[in-house]
Amino acid sequence: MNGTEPAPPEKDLVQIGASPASREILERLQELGNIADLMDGYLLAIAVAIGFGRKPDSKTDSDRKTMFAVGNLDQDGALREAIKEIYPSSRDTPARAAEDLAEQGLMIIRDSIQGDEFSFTDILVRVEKANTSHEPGVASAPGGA
Amino acid sequence: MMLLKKIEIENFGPYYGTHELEFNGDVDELILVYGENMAGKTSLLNAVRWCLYGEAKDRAGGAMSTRKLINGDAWSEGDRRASVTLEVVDRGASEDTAVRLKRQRQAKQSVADPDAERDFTTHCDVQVGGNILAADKFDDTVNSMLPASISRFFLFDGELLREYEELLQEDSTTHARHVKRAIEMILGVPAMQSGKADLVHLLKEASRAYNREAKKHADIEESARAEEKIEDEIDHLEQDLESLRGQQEQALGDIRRVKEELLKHEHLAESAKGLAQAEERLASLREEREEKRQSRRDLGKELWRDVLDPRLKHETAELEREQARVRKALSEKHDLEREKKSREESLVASECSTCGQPIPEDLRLREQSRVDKIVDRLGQISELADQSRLDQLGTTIRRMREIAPAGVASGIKVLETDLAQIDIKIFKEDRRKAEVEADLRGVDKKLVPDFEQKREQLSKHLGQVEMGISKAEEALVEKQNEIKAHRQAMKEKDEPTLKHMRIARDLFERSLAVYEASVSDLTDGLRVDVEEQASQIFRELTTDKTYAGLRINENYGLTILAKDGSDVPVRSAGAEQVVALSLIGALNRLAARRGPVIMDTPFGRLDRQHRENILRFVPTLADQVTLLVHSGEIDPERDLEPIKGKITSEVEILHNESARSELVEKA
Repeated sequence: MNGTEPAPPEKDLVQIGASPASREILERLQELGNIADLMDGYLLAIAVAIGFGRKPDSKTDSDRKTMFAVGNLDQDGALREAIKEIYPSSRDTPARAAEDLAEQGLMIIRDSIQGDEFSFTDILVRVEKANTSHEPGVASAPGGA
Repeated sequence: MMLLKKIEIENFGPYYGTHELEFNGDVDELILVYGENMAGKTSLLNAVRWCLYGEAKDRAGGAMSTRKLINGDAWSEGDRRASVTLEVVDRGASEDTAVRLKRQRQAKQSVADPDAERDFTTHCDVQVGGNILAADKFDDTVNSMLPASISRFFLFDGELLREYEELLQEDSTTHARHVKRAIEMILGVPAMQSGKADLVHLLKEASRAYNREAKKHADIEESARAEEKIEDEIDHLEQDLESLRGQQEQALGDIRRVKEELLKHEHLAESAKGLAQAEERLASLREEREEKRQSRRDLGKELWRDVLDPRLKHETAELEREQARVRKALSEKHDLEREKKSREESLVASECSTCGQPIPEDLRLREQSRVDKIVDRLGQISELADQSRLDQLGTTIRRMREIAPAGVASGIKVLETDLAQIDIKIFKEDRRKAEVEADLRGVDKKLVPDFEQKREQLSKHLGQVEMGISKAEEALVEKQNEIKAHRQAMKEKDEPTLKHMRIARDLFERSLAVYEASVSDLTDGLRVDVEEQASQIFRELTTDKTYAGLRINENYGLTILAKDGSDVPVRSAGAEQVVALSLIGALNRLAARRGPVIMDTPFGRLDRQHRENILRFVPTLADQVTLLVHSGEIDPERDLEPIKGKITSEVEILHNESARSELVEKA
């Protein structure tokens, strides 16, 4: 015994959300008529971040407000399962990872909003380019981490 | 005969300030006025028309407002008036009389922003033989020289020649009847018809006197009363007819005014229509855009699956490769453990289980070595050959596969391409709409529909009035026949004391019949004369030598005849112009009154040969002819050679600034 207790396993989130800036992007997408529900944009943002080879980074923004119950967002758990496999380090906290990824994905999406226009095609092209320019799973997190 | 001496224009149309055009004021005068489009040729013609009759016509034949007549620069400078002065010679049989006519229209001082006709006042000055007459003698003076009703044969725009085409229609239109009336007026027929009206009046008076006397005789009293009754009925019918004709004139005037308003606002009608169409298209485009956006939102719900798919596929492939490696390791582990067990059992026994011979030592050592190797290999693959990992991989792969792509990405791309195109269309349509709205700013959008409705109502009313006229005319003919028969019957039984009155009445009746026949003969004769003269002119003007001449109809409409005497049913725009000029030439030759001819753009629809023929003919058209032409119609060097000696003066309209033109005599 060295006198230090091992850190307790991190608990996963039951409810996930977004920072005010990210929420604003979601609302903008809804206002522009691209998404019906904020949840549709949130799911897309997670997928975009994964497509861009981003890694969950809980330091991206700590000022997050909850928005959805994880059970509602990912009713069959398929997304969490995918996250667990793509990011083994997040095997125990896939919901938390999803939240981190959504945050990053929304920042990527923000760059595709031009004035009053946002096109899914643009984001699809960008994801496609990202997929061909890196080996999924080995891409660096924002800031080259 | 009226001849022009001078036209003085002030602030009229493009003519800023005062400008003059002088004539010799004599016969055989041919003046050419050159001017490009918009320079002020039509304004010159309009100035003469306006001075004489108080009306200027626009290109469509509608009346121009005073506001439009006044020069724009003068208006901006606060000089809100226009005037035209004509100095003419009224050439009589024995002497010439100088006539000076001036018409001025100016905005009322009390009106801040004059626009409507009521915002302007008119001043007319008239001098005859140096004597100043009262302003109310202006119209009488003009009518005694060149009445408005025949002015169309003297002051005309080449484009307006088409109105003569209506004369050809068998079932004549109201407009054609007006032209016909004007033709008969220039030929002097109305003077004869006035004589007829006088005779009718005298006959009525004689008939009434006879009946008054006849009523005093018991045996014919009843017949006299009956005749009086028919006469009253005739009077009523005539009054009705007069009233209906008045209504017809009124309706025609109203329709003309409404048409003028509609023409004035024609562009507004088009703009209003354009706006409605733009709004309709925009609504449809926006609806289509919203439908496509909704479809995109619906597909967008599952788009995350398509975005994730490449990464999932990659990860699944990785997992499948690992699954294969684990499966292979487990299989190898299974095989090695079975072999190890078998070999260890052999090493424990001292003799061979098959042949019973003792196992040699070297063989035992080899077996042991193999077992050791198997143990080593099992150690190497023990981590990989993990059944629980294999089970876990199986579950994960299955669940990863469950996140199947939604296949919506391509649909979304198509929708977004469509949406981009719709946005471009909306942008263009919005811009078009904004342009139309700018055009319509401050305009009452109901103006045009209201005028159209009014025109429709008036046309309906005119139709009813004309039907009434037709019925009244029929009834009148019936009553006139009835009264003739009645008079004949009474003649046989009248009293000797009434004889002289009856004779007087019969005299008027017979005179009237003779007079009517004479008028009919005259008009028939005039028609034949018009046909002959027009045919002669036509043969001079036409370049088509297969044409023999022209045939006139009841309305003075002219049909081209071929050499074999058959009608030429189809004629070109150029041929129409030649026919119209032939009619005008014939009417001028036969006219009871003569005047100066001013022709605006007369060669517009003609080829070179026709142009040359008409130029040769023009000096003979009237005593004084002014041609207003543009460079596209006439090349002075080439076209004027045949009539060079006949041109008395040439004037050019210089149009230096947008609102200013001036008349310059060519050297």
